[in-house]
Amino acid sequence: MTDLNLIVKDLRGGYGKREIVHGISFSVETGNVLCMLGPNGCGKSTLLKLLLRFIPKMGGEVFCRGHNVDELDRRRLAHFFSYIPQSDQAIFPYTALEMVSMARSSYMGAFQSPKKEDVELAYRCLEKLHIAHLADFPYNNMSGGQRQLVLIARALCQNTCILVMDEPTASLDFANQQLINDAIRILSKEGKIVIVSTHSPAQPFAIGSHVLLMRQGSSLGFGPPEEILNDHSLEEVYGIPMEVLSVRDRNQQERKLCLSL
Amino acid sequence: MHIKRNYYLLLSLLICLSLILPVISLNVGFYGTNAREVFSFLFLGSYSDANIPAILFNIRIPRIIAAFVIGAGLSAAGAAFQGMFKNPLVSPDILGVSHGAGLGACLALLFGWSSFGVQINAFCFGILTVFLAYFIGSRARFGQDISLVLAGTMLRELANAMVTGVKYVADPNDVLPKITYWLMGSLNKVDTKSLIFSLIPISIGLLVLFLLRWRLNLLTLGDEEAMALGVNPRRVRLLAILAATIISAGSVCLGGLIAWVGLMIPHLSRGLVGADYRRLLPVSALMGGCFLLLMDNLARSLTTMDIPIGILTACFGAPFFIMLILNRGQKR
Repeated sequence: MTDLNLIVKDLRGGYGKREIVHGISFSVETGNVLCMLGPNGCGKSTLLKLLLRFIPKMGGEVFCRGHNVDELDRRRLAHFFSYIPQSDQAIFPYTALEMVSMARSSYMGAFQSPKKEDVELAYRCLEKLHIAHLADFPYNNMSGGQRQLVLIARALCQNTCILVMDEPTASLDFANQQLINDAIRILSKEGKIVIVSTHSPAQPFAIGSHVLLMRQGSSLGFGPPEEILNDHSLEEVYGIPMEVLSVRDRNQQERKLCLSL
Repeated sequence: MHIKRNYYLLLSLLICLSLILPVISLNVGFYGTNAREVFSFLFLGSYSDANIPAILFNIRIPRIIAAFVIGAGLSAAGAAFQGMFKNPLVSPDILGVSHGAGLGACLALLFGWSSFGVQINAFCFGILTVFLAYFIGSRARFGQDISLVLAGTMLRELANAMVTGVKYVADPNDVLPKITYWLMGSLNKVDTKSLIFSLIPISIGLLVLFLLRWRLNLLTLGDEEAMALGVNPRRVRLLAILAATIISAGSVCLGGLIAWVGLMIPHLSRGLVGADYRRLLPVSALMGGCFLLLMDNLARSLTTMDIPIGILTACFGAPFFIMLILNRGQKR
């Protein structure tokens, strides 16, 4: 067991008394991308909320870099996990730089504001994702893809080992989806563990080193996408006939496509 | 960065205005004073009109301070509430502090208490209403901000109904006009004692909001995101609600129901300096202070009668609100 990884053992939880996630286990090493794949209502979002401790768990354990996550308070937890929500409409005209600077809050006292170093770090995070030109641009006037990139920059600025993303490409057009996939690759090159929930069965092939296939709150398989995702397993999860195709693009790269029949 | 440069320019402008406007306002009022006489009294201590010291120290100076502080307080409280409820159209009365205070004042007037008693009772009822709203809201099962707003709205309507009840039983020759006049909002009863009583909670509240200015930004993101950023949103929200409530209660018990300031000024400030509370709070407070002082000067000088200031702020607020709606429509 290295101390650079995330280990989840038999995690269970839900809302009120109803258990929605029934004992999920997996482990991810640093620099890897884990995609959670499954139909609507399979418990992906609940699992994310359990990992981030937005809702109390009913059982199981989570270890991050050798720490039992339960022993961390909210502030310390924010040094291990950062959260990238779906970028919905913003109400107030915060600039991108202000948005990203908010990531430094867990490193400050309650009555403190970001210092110069914090703002500089925030700016560097925008640069890393190639959106430094948006620094002074109001977040609520950005496109969906730009907003999502700002939120990713914020998580980067929080300087955590694990980044949790809730369906980052769900409401984006095709070009923006590729932009987000590129950003996820940048994160994994930085040595982060990225956990992404997704609706697209092809996304794990594109970005994921691991996939967690889920149905009705349980895991149907965990491992590299090439091993886990096939006609049979996808049919079982989605309940419709499906086929995984292997094709070569014009650069002779092998690509995977997932089709419903 | 242009935002920052604009901010410092605006801030220095507002600070200058906040220094000049009160001095000019010393000359405004029913009793005709001559500017040279007022300033020679203030700076040289000599005067020929024997009424001048009394008028300045007992009436005008307390009133000027009250107008500025109430305007600043309501605007800062409004800005804080707008952020935590993620809604730019929220006013400081969202949790019922003003209507609760109104009820407290009406009851005290009904029982014939002194004006200081009325003020204290208004303050306590305002705070009590918000405590009730918070108690109900924090027990509800769904999202805390929504349940707080619902509880606040309900309590506001309840207080309103009870005010109507008190008005109904009040003596129409004596008590009813007093109640009506109090509810309209006016600064003409402000004296040194009532000013000091209100100044304490307003200053404490403003200080707390100012210290929390960065954390207020995180509340606008919603609870889950704030938690993920390592902040306990409930604790920050409770502290901000406490601060904004003692500010609003202190303001309302001094000047009655003065509407619109706490909605309009933060909104206007946000358009000028952006959403970051590090800039928004100081600008809102100074702009609100100047605005209400200006309104009070108009209230004192437009007619021979002292116009209730609530009427004037509403006359400015309603067109502003209409403009806001129309502008929003254009953006889409």
